[in-house]
Amino acid sequence: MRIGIPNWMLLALPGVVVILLFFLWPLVLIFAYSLYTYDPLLIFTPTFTWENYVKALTDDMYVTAILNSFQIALATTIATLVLAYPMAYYLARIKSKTEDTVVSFIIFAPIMVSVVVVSFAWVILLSPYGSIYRILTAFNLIHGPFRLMFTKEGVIIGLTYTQLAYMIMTLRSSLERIDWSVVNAARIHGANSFQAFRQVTLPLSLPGIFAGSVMTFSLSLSSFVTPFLLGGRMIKVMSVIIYDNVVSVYNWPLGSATAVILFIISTILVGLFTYFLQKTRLEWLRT
Amino acid sequence: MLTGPYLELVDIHKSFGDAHVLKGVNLSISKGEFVTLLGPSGCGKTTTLNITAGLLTADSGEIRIGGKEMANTPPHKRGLGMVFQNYALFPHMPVFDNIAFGLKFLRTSKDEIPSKVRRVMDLVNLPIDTYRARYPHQLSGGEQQRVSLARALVIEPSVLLLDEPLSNLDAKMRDSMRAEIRRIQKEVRITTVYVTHDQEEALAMSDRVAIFQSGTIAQIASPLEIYKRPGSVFVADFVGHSNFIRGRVQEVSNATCTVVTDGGLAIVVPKTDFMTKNKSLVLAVRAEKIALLDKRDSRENIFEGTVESSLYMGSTSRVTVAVGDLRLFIHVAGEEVRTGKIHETGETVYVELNPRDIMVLQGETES
Repeated sequence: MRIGIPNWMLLALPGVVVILLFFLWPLVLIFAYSLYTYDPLLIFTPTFTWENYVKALTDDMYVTAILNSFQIALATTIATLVLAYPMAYYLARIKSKTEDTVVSFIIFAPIMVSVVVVSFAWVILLSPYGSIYRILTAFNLIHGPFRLMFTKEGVIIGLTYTQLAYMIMTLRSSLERIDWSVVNAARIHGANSFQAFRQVTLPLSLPGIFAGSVMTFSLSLSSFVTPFLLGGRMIKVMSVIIYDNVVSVYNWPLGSATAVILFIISTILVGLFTYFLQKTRLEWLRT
Repeated sequence: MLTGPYLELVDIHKSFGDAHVLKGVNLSISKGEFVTLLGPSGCGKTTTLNITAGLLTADSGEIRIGGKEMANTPPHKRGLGMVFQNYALFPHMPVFDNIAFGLKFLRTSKDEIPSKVRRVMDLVNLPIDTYRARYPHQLSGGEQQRVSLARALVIEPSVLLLDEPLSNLDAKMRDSMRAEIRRIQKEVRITTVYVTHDQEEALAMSDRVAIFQSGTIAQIASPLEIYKRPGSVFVADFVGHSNFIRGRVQEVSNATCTVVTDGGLAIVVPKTDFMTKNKSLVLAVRAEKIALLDKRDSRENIFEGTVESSLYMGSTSRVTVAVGDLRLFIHVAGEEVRTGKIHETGETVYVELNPRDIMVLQGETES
C-alpha cells in the first residue's frame, strides 16, 4: 500500500465510520446538551451552566435513582451468575447433539421474544393477585398480601430472567475451554468433587465469570423496558428518569446530564472490572 | 518383591451405548511391577486405565488394589497417581503448586511440603530453584511431563498410572523420557500401569506387556516372550514386522514337519503339539529373520525369488521379494557392510526361512 495503511485496517473502516457517526457524535451532542440551560419553551438555550449536573447529583429523586440503578444491576448480576453457572456447567458437559439443541433453544427462546412481551408476562406473574401469588397461596406458602410488582425485587427478577441466556452462553464457552483431564487430575490426586471444582474448575472459568458479569451489569444498568414496566412509578432508575426528562418533560439538558452521569459511572465501573480481570487474568492466561 | 497380585482386575466389562468396549479384562499385577497395556486405538486399553483410576465405572467386574475392593471407591480415595497424555497440569498454578497439589489432601504437615516437593523434583531432574515459580505454559513438553510425573509421585501413590505419556513429545525427547521413566520407576519401585500404542515403548520399558485386542487381553507376557513366542496371529502382527504364510500340514516327522503353502511351496517348520496332517495353520516369520542370499546352498527352506522393491533406510534396508505367490517383507541390516551393494528391483535372489525362526500359529491372518 502506497499510503502505508495495511489492507486489514481498511476492513475496519466501514465499522469505524458507523461508530463515529452514530455513536460518538450523538454522545458529543448529549454532552453538549447537558451543559446547556433548560428553557420550557425552546427546550434549551445554548448558554453554559453546571446547574443540570448539580441537580442530577443532589436532588433526592435523582440520587435515589442512581442508587436504585446500581443496587438493581448488582443484584441482577449476582442472581444471574448464581443461576447461570450450574446451567452453563451442564451445557458444557452435554454430549448429545439433540439434547444440546433442545436445551439451547429453551434457553434462547426468551430473548427471541421482544423484551416488552417478556416483561408484560412478568407483570402478569408478579402482580398482587397474579399466578405466582395464587400458586404460593394454594400451597399455603404465603399468607396475606403479596408484593413484587413495583418493587426492586420484582425488577431484579425480571432483569435476571432477560439476562440469563447471555450469561449462560458466556460461561458455557469459558467452561468448554477447560480441559477436563485437568479436573480428572485433581480428582485422582486427592481432591473430592467439591475441592476439584473449587480449586480447578472455578478458577479456570474466571474469565467467563468476569466477562459475563461485566456484560450483565452494564446491560442491567442501562436497561429501560423491564424497570419501566415492572418498577413503574415507584422504583425509579436512571434510564427511566432520562426517558421522563427527554420524552415527557422535554428537559433535554437535565436528561442529558443524567445520561452522561450514567455513562461515566458505568464506564468507570466496566473499566475497573476489566482492569481487575486483566490483573487476575494471571500469568497462565497469557500464552 | 513379586509376591502375589497387588493390583487385580477381574472380568471387567464396559459398554458405551452399543459399543462393548471391554469384554472381560483380567489383569493381575505384582507389587513393583511395570506392566504396559499395548494395543491399537479403540482396543480398550485407556478405558481399562480409566476404570482402574475410578474416572469410569465398570459395568461389572472387580478391581482390587492391595487386596481392597475399589469398584465403589471414588478416584480421590484410591491412592493413585496418574500421568496424562496431555500432562493435564493446572494452568493457573506455578510448578510448585502443581506438584504440591495432592499433598494438601493428605495429612502432610505444612513444613514437610517443601522438602517433599524438592525431593520429587530432584527425582525427575527438575532443579527446584529454576522451575518452582514457572507456569505450565512456560515449559516445554518434556518439562511439563516431568512436572506431571512429579505431581503423581509426590503423594507416594500405591499405583502409578500413565496414559500415553510420551505420545506428544518429539522422537528424541521420547527416547530420553522413556529411559527416565523406567529409571524413576525402578528407583521408587512403584507398581506401574502404562498405556501406549507404541510397541517399541512397550517392549523397552515393561516387565510384562499386555496386548489388547478388541476389549480383551490377547496375551500378557514379558517383552521377550511376546516377541519370540506370540500367542496369536494378532499379537505377531501387532508387535514387530511379520510375514504371514498360510499353509496346510503335509507331513509330520519326529522333529519337524512340512507345511505346503497355497502356492505349492514346501516349508520345513519345527514340530508343535497341535500339528496333525492336513491341519491348516499360519506361519509367521519376522522381517528381520529372513536371510537374503545370492545363491542357493544345501540348507533347508531356501527359495528363489525376485526383488520387487528395495528401500535403503540407513541402518536397514527394506526389501520386498516375491517368492511364488508369496510376497515377503525383509529387513536387511547393515546391507552394504555385508554385501557392498543394494538390491535392485527385478534381481533374482534366494531367501532363507530358517525353521528355528518360523513361528507356528493357529488362527486366521487378518487379511
